[in-house]
Amino acid sequence: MPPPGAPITRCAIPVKICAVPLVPRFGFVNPLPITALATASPLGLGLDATLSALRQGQSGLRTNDFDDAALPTWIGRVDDIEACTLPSSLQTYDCRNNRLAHLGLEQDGFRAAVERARQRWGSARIGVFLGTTTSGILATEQAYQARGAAGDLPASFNYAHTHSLYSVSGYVRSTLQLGGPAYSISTACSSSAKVFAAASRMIAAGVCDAAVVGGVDSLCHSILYGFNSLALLSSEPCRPWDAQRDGLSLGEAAGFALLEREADSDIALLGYGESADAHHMSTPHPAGAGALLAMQEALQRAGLAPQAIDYVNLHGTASPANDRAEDRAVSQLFGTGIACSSTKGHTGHTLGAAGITEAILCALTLRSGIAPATLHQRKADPALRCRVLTQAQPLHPQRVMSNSFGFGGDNCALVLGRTA
Amino acid sequence: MMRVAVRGVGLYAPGLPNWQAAVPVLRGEQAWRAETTPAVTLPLPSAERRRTSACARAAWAAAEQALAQSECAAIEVNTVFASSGGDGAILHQLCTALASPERAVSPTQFHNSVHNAPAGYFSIAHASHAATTSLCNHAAPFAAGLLEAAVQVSSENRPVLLVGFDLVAPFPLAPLWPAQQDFAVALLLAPPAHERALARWRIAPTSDAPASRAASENWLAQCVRANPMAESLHLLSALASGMPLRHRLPYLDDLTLEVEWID
Repeated sequence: MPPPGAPITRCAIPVKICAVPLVPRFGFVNPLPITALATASPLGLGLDATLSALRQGQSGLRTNDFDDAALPTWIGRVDDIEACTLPSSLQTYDCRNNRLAHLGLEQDGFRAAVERARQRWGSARIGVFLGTTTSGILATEQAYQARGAAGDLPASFNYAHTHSLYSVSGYVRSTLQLGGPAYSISTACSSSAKVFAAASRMIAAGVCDAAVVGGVDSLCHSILYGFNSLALLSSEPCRPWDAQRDGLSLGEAAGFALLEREADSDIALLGYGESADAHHMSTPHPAGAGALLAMQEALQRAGLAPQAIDYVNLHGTASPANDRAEDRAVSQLFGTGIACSSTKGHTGHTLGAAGITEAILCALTLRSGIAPATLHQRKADPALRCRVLTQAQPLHPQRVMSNSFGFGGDNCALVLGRTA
Repeated sequence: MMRVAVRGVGLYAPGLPNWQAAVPVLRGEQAWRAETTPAVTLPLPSAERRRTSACARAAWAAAEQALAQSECAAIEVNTVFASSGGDGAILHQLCTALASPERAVSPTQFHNSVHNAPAGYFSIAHASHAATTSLCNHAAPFAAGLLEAAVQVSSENRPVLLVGFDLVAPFPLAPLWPAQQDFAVALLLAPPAHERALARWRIAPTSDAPASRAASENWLAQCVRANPMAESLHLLSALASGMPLRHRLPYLDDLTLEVEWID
């Protein structure tokens, strides 16, 4: 066991896990209170609708009806985006992705909670760190479809405020009137898990007292045709951990969390771990080496042994390679008895919003005691060992882990827990 | 407020092909000429190497110099890749393909389109599992990346390699793109107690106004106008000449990043 404050050593695999809690390392605020959450996903708008859908095992997936993308797949779409309008002073940001961000911010009293934090800490002390993979790329796709005779883009196209990867963070910072540091993280599907690590460090370093974190990704042609080019789209609703799983269902979502240095809250961030696979740009390390490192580091930061975790929300994309690699890493670290589920069958894979969406589902699991199901499974893959729940069920966990693994081999694991 | 030791520098930009060659230019001893940068290859298996994008290669070129100068092992170093908006050339290819009737996106284009592709290639080439992040801030990517790197040094107490890259985009994106000239820069930042350091900096966000833009038409001002990542040249000039420095980098509307040379 390393001495208190010692840097985390990145060990060769396999790693012996300490059986006793480790001392939280220097510089990490633990626990870090999560004082507000907001969600807009294919499961519905707001935490209540989302919890109700989880309890009933409802899926937000439908056959693909996005724009004119004629691909035989299923998608998780948020119905209310088209009807959503941005505040008149921020129309320059108008695009599908920022509308989805706006819709998310309107849920669950989130704006009021941020206003309370602003009064308490001052706007310059509140950062904005959001994850996205494609931001408002749909606006650029549409501009390319409308190119003029000379090949130029329409004069009305505003790249900086719609598509730029920073656009969503700029929009959220403006509409919430925050004045702290801001950037977007874009590390593919781990983006909006890593924002928790970023905010946690900003608070530990004394640069911020609070942060709005989250992620927003919206459906677009780049992603649909891109995953199709890799033969990674399922023609059915995605089936994580199924013997015949054949790929993803894509989705869109916005999710936000407010983190504060000190506050009363029922849920807190206990740890985070980040790692690189160093293996391949679009397939995970076959033994889940990077995934394992991220999970181990999250436990070390939380000062917890694996036995202290009651439930794992898997990355669980339902691609054959992801589930195989993740199954190896999770069962190696936790054994095969821990309750796990992938919620991708509920929401679809919301990419840059997956980390925050699943962190929010974990928070709902901690609050309600109900662990969500892994939907659409017909026959469990006999080669996989994790205990994957196929029905929503009472579990009453105290501490949970959420996994997010991205293209480019960028991994992040979060530990969330009840504070009482 | 964070304190960091600067242990390595890398540059890869027109007329500034690497840190060593850039020092006399930054000191004003040699004129800057907008010469093209030499080709770069990553030490990857040939199939993988062929797939690397120009952004990944430029980022690699700068990163390797800073890493070598620091004498840190890549596997011990966290990385922060910062950019205004990522890879304009790949974006152009992707959107052009999607605007065609076939909508035939190539798998290589698609996996290179993820913003963290340069970071992914870097970790693969070094077989490094160290934590890595890739972030964007449209107008001030260097300040955003420098703040994140300094925060990581301070809170994680380990060395961090900051790699900033922004390359030009082809027509028709070009006029909307923040980079009108290629630029990649790298800084290896470590906890201030490190013995070997080119400089030690104190870094803090502040609400004070940024340093006024030089009215002069000198080459450095031109580079900054042509690429927001070139704001880093103000800091690199001070490093090259060994001059004390107190500089406020533009960051957000109401926020700047102050960098002060403390020893």
